Parts: sequence; C-alpha cells; structure tokens
Amino acid sequence: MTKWTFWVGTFVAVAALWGINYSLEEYANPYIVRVIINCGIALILGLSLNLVNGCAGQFSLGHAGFMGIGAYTSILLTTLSNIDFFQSPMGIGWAVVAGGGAAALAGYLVGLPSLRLRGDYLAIVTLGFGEIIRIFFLNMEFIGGARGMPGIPRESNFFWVYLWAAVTFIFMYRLIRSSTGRAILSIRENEIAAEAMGIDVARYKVVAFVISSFFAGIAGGLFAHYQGFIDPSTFNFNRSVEVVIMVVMGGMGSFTGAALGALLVTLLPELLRVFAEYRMVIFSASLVAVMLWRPMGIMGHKEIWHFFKKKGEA
Amino acid sequence: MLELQNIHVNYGLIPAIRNLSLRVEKGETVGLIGSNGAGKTTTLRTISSLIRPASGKIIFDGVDITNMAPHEIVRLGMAHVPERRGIFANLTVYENLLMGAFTQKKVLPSDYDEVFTLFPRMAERKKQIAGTLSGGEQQMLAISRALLSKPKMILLDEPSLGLAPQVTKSIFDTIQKINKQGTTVLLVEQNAQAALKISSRGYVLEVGEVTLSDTAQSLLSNDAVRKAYLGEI
Repeated sequence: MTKWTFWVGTFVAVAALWGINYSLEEYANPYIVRVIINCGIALILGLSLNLVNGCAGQFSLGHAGFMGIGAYTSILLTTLSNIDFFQSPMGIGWAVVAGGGAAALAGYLVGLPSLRLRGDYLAIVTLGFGEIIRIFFLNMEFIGGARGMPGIPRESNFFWVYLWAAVTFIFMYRLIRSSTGRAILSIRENEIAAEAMGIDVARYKVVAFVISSFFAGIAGGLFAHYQGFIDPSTFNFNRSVEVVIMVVMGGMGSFTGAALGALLVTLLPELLRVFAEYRMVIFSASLVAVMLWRPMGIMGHKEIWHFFKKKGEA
Repeated sequence: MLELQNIHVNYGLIPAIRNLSLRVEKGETVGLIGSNGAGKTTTLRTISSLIRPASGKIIFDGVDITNMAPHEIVRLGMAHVPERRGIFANLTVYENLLMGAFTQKKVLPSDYDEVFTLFPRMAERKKQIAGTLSGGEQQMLAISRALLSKPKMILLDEPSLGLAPQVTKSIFDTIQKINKQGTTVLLVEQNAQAALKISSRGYVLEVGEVTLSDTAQSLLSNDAVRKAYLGEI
C-alpha cells in the first residue's frame, strides 16, 4: 500500500463513519443505536483484553477495573473540573485519552509486581485489583459514591466509538506483526524458550498489560460520555467476566475472533429478548455449546482470513 | 570460554546440584552425561540464568554472569536450546527463526541461508506451523533458532530426546559441523555414547555432583561409565 492510497482509504473510512453516524442519529431507532454503540465499546474491550489473555497468555480478570479508571478519570475532567477546555467536544475527546492514560499507568503499577505470577495466581490478583478499584469508587463521595455520577456530557457517539474500535484493531494488528508482538506471542507459546531467546519476559508482559489497560480506559471514557451516567457497579466483576467470555469464545489470540466474540456477547442477549425470561438461560447454554464443540474458541488462534487461504499455508 | 566454580543449586530445601565446577574451552564440544535427575538440565538452566544458584560463580567469555538476567546472557553470545525443544508451536517455522534472531539488530538473508544449508528441511517448511513438524524437524528448528542469535557458545539440552536413532545421528553430525564452524558446544545427554563420540571431553554427573571428568575417548573406554551409561554388562 502506498502512502497515497493509505490516506485516501483513511479519509473514505472516516467519511463513511461520519455518514453512518449522521444517518443513525437522524433516522434510526434509539434502541438500535444503543445496541450498536454497546457493540463498539465491547469491541474495544474484547480486542484489548485479547492482547493479554489471548496473545501473551496471561489470564487477567480485572479488565472492568481499568475501564472504570478510564471512565472516572475522564469524567473528573469533563464533569467535575471547571476547566473550560474539557467542556468542549474537542476537550472531551482529550479527556477520554487522558482516561486511557490513567488506566495505562494503573496497568503499569499493577502489572509490575503481579505479572511475576502465573496462571491462577495472576487471575486472583487481577480480580482483587478490579474489586479494589470498584470499592474505591464506591467510597469516594466527590465522584458520586454509590449513587453514581449523573450529568456527564453525552458527547460520544457512533463516530467516536467506532473510530476508536478501528484504531484499536489496526493498532493490535500491526503490533502483533512487529517484533514486540512476536515477543508477546512467544511468552504464551513457551516462557522458558522465550527467555532463552533473549526476550525480557517480565518487560514484555508489562508492555502488553499497559497497552491493554490503555484501550480499556478509552472504552471506559467513551462509555461514560455515551451513557451520561455511571456508577461503580457498572465496572463490577461481571463486566470483567463478560470481556473474558468475548475473548475465550472468539478464540484466544485471534483479533477477528475477539471482535466476533464481542459482537456475539453483546448481540445475543438482545436478539434473545423474544424468549423473555429464558433469555439468559439460552445465552448461557449457547456459551456451553461453543466450548463443547470448539474449545479453542470459534476462531482458535487463526484470524478470519486464514480460513479463506489454501490448506497448508499459514 | 565458560567456567563454573563451585555451583550449588537448591529447589526449595532440596539440593539439586552440589559443588559443581566445570570448564569449557573455546572451540570445544563438551558432553555432560548422566541419568535422569542427575541435574543435567538444572546445570544448563543455571548457566543461562533461568535458575539462580545458591552459591558459586559462573564466568562466560571473561564476564561474571552469575547474577545476570537470561536475556542479557543471550546478548553476550550464549544460546540455549531448551529441553523438549521449546519451539513456539503455534507460530510458523519462519516466525520461530525470527524469534531466534530477536537480539540481533539486523538479520541478513545470508544468516538464514547459513542455517538453511545446515538444515535444508527448514527452508522447505518455512511457512509451516511449527507444532505440526515431526520430532526431528522440531529439534532442527530449535537448533536453527538458537543459531540465529549468532552465539559464540550453544547449550544443547538433550537433542536426542524422543528421536529415532537415524535422526539422532544426523542431528549429532550437524552439531559436529556447527562446532567445526567455530561455535563452542556444551551438550547435555542421556545418550552417553552418541554424546561422547562427538565431544572432546566429558563430565559425568551423578545426583548433583560431578563424579568423573576426562577426555571423551577415555570415558568411552572407562569400565564404570560403560556399565552405567553405555548399556554394557
């Protein structure tokens, strides 16, 4: 791809997002718009967690915590501070980025000591971290405590959510094909061999964790500024588990798989509304079914285009 | 090239290696033989710092590497081919090789060509997922991968593990070639005969201690060694 086609492509894609955003706001049913935007936020969450759980093979159960940090940091700037800049649409965009930055910093601080642990132990530590964050928000009166935080400017929309989802996907796709990405993958494949190849395993685990937390924070900020209201229970353990399900169901380490998982986990409960009270039963049963038939997830380690290639090629 | 001085390694309270001293001169192939649980793998892992010794000193190429991190040691020019090969099973052969060259700033096509001349099979299977290779090919891949870090010295942990005698022979021939091209080799093996045949010197390890060290020739003809490791009664 030349530079020229790249920029034209980017321009066309952004214009298309704009166009869809405009028509959704003008003509679509608000319920449909809400589901579509929830899908977009789920995409960012699923794609980002896939880097840690799928690619690096480190089982993290605290993604909602990082999402919460992103959400609360961004509303601190836009809703609670009196800085004029952060009231403007542009400023809100930067506040969301700041939320991502805060989540990344938290990811660094949590990751540094805890990524020395493996498997179940790491899962417990990250789970604990997620709960600490939630309870911290619960007890902070100035950010609303248990009552939550209303009156957040509702500035994020289809355009911003899907722009970030696209950025996340492209970033992850490029990352995993770089030497940093391969270092992260090799940790999952064989930690001892990775060390023997001269890879600073501890460092690359933290790198993966920080990147993943950053995008979780972005998702949190976008979510807060879409909902217009957040409370600590939004970022509870169930949310973390939901993201893990997206990754496991889609296929560990496959970004198109994580995206598919994110869409399924968000869309299925909505599509199953016709079954009324049996909705979640059927949803859970379908998860069990996927794991029975495809324990490696719908995609496994592969990306979607690998299925269209000739056999034997990788 | 490499010197271990009075190394002690413990796993919790249990001593795995006691007072081990060992020397490998530049350009040599040294065989470290012993039965299961003698501490062969532990010794190699201690050298490349995957395990920390309780006491003792390790000197590689004039540098004290006892307290270095594993990735720093690789940069000094030591490559470790781990036990059971440790290939990245879900990556392609080519990606595995790329990981081997991870510490290199620049990888030239000629670096790959060198490896492909040693193991033509790797060139044929470049795009294949490494986990689908046969055992022998996986061992070739593990060695090729280690060579791409351009090591001065290579540590081989049981390259014959689970391989047919034919394949073992061809792998050992290649190890000999690698050594002749100037790479120092420390070879850990249960297959004592095969190992000693290509080594200049050998150490016999028993329950964490070196019980015998001599030239490979005299070890091969040593009665105790023949009885214990070469399967003669």
